[in-house]
Amino acid sequence: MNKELLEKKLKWIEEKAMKKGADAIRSSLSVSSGFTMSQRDDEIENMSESVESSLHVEIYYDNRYSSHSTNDLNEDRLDGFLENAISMTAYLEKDEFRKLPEKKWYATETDDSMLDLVDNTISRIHHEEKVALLDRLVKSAYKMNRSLISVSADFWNNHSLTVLRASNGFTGSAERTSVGMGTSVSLEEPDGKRPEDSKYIGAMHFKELWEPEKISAEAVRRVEAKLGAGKIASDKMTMVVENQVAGRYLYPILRALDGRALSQKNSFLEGKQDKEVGAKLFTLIDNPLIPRAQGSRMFDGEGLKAVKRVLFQDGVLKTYLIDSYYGNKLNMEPTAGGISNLILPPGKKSPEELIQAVDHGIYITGFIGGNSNPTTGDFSYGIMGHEIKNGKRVKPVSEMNISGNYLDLMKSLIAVGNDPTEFSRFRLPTLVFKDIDFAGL
Amino acid sequence: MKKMTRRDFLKVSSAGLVLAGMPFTMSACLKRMDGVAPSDIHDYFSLFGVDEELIRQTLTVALSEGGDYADIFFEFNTGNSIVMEDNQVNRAYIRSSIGMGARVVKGDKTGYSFTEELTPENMKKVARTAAKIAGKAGTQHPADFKEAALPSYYDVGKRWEDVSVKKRIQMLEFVNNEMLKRDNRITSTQLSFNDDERFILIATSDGVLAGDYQPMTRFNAYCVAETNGRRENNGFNLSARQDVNWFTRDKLIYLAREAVNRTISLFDAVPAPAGEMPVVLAAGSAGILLHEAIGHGMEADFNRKGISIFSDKINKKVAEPFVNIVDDGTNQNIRGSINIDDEGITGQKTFLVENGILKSYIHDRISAAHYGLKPTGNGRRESFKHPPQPRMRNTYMLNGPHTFEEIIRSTSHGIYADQFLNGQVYIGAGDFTFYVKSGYLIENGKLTQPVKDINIIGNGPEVLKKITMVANDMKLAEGGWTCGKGGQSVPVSQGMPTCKVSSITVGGKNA
Repeated sequence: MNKELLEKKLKWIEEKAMKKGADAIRSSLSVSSGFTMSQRDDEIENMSESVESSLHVEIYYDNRYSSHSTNDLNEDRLDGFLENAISMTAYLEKDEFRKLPEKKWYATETDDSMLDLVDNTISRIHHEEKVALLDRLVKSAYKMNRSLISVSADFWNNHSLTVLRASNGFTGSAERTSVGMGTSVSLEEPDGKRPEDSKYIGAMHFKELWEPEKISAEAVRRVEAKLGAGKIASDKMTMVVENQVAGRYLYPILRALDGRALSQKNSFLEGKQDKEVGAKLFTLIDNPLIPRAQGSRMFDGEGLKAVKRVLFQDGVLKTYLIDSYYGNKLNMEPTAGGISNLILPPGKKSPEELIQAVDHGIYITGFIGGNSNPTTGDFSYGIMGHEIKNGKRVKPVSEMNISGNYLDLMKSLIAVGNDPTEFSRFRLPTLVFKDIDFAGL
Repeated sequence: MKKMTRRDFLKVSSAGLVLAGMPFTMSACLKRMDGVAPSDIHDYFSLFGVDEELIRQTLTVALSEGGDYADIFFEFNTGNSIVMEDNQVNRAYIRSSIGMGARVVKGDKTGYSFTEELTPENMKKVARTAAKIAGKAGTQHPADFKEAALPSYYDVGKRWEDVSVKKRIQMLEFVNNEMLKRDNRITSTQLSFNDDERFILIATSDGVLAGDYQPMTRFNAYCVAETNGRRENNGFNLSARQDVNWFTRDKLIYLAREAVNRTISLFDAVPAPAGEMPVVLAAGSAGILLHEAIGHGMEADFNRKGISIFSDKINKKVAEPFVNIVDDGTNQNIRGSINIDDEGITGQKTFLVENGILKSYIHDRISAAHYGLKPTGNGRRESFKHPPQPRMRNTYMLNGPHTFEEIIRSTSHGIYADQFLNGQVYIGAGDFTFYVKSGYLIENGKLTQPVKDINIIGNGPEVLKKITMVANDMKLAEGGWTCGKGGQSVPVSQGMPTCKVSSITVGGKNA
């Protein structure tokens, strides 16, 4: 992968577009190569290997805007592509807020080597080593539990390079590797149900991954814990959310911070800046500058400088996620187009200690389906996990729903664990909320 | 008919949205003489810059390591979205992609690779990469090609490429005006007009050679409304394998009316009760229940692995005798219809449940070979970047013996669910959910107050047994549904007559 070559191509595209009449242009070009392989029981089942590229061009023409993507990088055809992109933009309506960001918001330091997102050893992992890892994943799962009815293991690696360029003076590149593996396992119950669970670990560096035996042990532990699951009576109860599933649950809160949602009055957090919306424990920080973390970056999709930001501090909403367009529209300073790595500062207690403090509740280890209303904050999700009685996990739970409203939920956070997740962009610990509506029997 | 080179075609098509009033004569060769879609396999050859000999050579390379079967799949896809926000049509998103994937199958094993540059060298290189899965030298050669005669489930009169930007803008403005004038509580609208054209060319080592043109459109209309300091949002969308003439004035008015009414009615909504209760599903997109409760569990890749809850249930009774469920690729112009699947099997209709008995899984070539059965035409893929998997098309229940009135009257206390956003299933345990955006309470055999934002959760086989009434008013969904599996999204549809599930868990408030 050659950064200079991609930069040269974008420069050529920019010059062509400006010559054809564009007032400004932002373009990005990505190249990535990837490999995946999976094994089921004793045999390799799938293997896939490819290289792909993607060009994205945003045209600003006479206060009008359009966005174009293609994977065809042939120069003759790109010439026609740009010609058409610019002429069609002329048919759209003028939008005074549509312009490239002011230069002062751009990242000046774009070298991301301090973030350590590339592991050059990954490309040197031999095929035989990958095959051996898959075999260890499968064999160790069966060794833990001989009655598993199916074990599938996956290995993948990817290397990508993206260059972003804006005609008012920004060029930056982002290179990263990713590598991961995991195991999915199934058991059969006497009534014919075949519960499944899995554990997958992905990182930028190969050395950070767990040993295959540890990954499979976690997958097997999770599926065994599901045996005999069923619903319990509907009630208002304490809810403990396992760290690794908390990100999905909190995501709609982040969506409500987004500039577009605010501008369209489609956010339950509109008009709440500097107001207390959550419990004292509810602090969320977006940090794009953590070395070796999934969401780390020096700049966002517009080239805006990536900085650590406090989104909520002790329950008070501090920062919205505003890109430059909605910043113009809302007359607000731009912050970022989206989150990078989300942190909720951990507490002192382990998940077990948090569970011990619950009289009656449910420990949620998985969500299934459900959705939320972005305008009002109402939510309803399917859940699975364990019933907690007098501080102990007493019964696996499935086929139940939780319902509520995010504005109430943020206020009902009563405890946080000491166990933030390692491998996700959501670095969240186990969370405890009081008085949640559960629906079951 | 003049043949056009791929280069010309891409040059034209990368515009996607044609300039208003300017005719696009250059693309004429990709149309039939009557001005529709490409009909001749040579049109597809010229689109991708290939010929029969090169395709045969590529397949020969794919089989060179001893594979049982190989296919190569070419795809060219263009799509346009124009967005209207704050009463301005002020942004457009246009995409195009081209590429070719090679797949080699050995038993249940798959090797896959793809390229975005369609040179003979690259094509053979990806075939060689995919071939490695088989692992030992072979001498097999591809069979002679028989050009497949395809059915025609989405013959459209006009290509999307020939529709001007201006026409799309006019439709957006018309719907926006219709929405705003219907109710002064609307504070903002968000609309988008989307169209896609997908051209595929498939060649298989057992002699299939076929091309297909697959159009798609989707019109989204959403709004936020406010009254007495309370806000709500909702919307509606229409999607089909159709051309621009499908959007008649009446249809656009219908879209605007539904988007507004579905939003305004939420102001009257009361909290739903929590717990198990009867749920009546409205005719139409409630087929989401079938998609989640049985459809995914019937995908034969899960069953050949023994990890679906339906794995040992073929020929067993799973529902009342009046329950018939099909997965159908042959409905005229419906979103999930396919003339041919993405591995060269022609579109067809498959009974999953017939008279309450579980009849057939939905198969791709690999699972069909595993079971010694004929494929059912369900081998689909998101794009040339992915190998096919068994996937649903249009999944629906056939009409039953009851009526809408009988069903509502028979329910003393429950929920009537009529608009849905999304669903999910765990195919092993069989637990599935679907999210009800809006519906009504049923009290003493009558629909009373609206309810909203409720998740419903049940277990597939158990819920099938609890379908106690099915009406005679089957309707297919009108909106654009997309199904995700294994990292791949494909367009699908679903349908349902009004039907009653005697008991299922509703996510609401505890009294």
